[in-house]
Amino acid sequence: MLTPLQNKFKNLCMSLGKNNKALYGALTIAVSKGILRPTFTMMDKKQDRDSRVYTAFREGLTGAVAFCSYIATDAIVEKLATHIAKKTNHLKELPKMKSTLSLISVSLTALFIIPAICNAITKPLLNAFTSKNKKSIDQPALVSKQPVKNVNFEGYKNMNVYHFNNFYNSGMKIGGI
Amino acid sequence: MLDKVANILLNPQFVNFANNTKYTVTTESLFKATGRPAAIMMDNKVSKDTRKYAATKEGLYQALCLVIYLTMIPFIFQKYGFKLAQKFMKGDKDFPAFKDANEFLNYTKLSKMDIHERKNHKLLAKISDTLKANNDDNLTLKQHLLNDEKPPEFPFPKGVIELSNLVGTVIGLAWIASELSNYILHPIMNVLGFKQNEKVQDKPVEKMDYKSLNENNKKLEAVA
Repeated sequence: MLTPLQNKFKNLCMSLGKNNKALYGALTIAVSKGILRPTFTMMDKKQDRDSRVYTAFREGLTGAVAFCSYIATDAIVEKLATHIAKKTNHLKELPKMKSTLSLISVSLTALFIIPAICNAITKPLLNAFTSKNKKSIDQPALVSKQPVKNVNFEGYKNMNVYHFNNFYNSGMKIGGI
Repeated sequence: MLDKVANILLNPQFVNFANNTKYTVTTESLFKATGRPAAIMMDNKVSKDTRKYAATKEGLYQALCLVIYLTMIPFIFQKYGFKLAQKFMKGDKDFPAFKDANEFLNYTKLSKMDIHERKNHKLLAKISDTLKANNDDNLTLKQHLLNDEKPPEFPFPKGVIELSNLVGTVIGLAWIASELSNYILHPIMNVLGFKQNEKVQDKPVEKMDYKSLNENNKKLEAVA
């Protein structure tokens, strides 16, 4: 006789054993990196607070974007799999078709869709949610008065949170996860 | 046309690949390790050096994470996940008493082969002679492999392996591999000649010298 916990564990494993999908692995990575990486970033006391907030926000946002993108593309792919299975009389093998199409959709989503969405929404959302960062973008007037030969490139990078190098500097880059 | 697509999607090897968490996570990571650096290099708004630095770092980061993850999965997560599940579900009729995760994986590989190929395969020696699916079964699993076109499948232990891989993905890939690769990445970037960029990157924001910039600005204004 199985306990309720054993029963739940067995049902979960049976379902994974019969119909595992690439989507589950991708969602696991999205959720775990979306939670763990911002947490670690915020715990890193070597960086100043604004920088940590910016990086953690971007990492968390990437996790959220990845999660939603995987769910959305998988829903589309499931419909596509059903369509193909009906047209080709392979309805009995629909779960297999769904799992192979799931792998294709996860790979393409990770490669194209997530980086594209992240690139498009990170800046506006950061502007909307982190007012401090916005202020720091307004500040560079300070630097603009410098003659060209004295431009402090390191300083410019540090002040401008949207500088390309800053954008790529902390592990999760375009698309992040 | 659709028939050809369906045949590709239902190819047994492809289905097997798509059902395996380790393989799918590996595929996804490889796409990131190659695709993202390519995307960075295509961004013409940024200087070539910066693109090169960012692309190299991104590719190395993803590749290192993957190597660490793949090293940890069979030796830690599969091995101990399987053992724990066996203890937790001891005596369950759907979970035969495989010696360890490797024996189960070898059995699964053999069961997917053609019966003629299976009979002379070296993996057959790694399956226990006395192992049975359950006590009601008269044949051992080895006999099933030798005599049946389709030997019994065991979704429960397979699910345990997949669940262990998923847990390994959280702990191994998202946590340990990410942290470890950050430590390994910097020395590798140094060796590849990206020292200057790394210095710039590591400089904390509070070191920004606003005071001297302000003074400099005032001097310039006075001169003007």
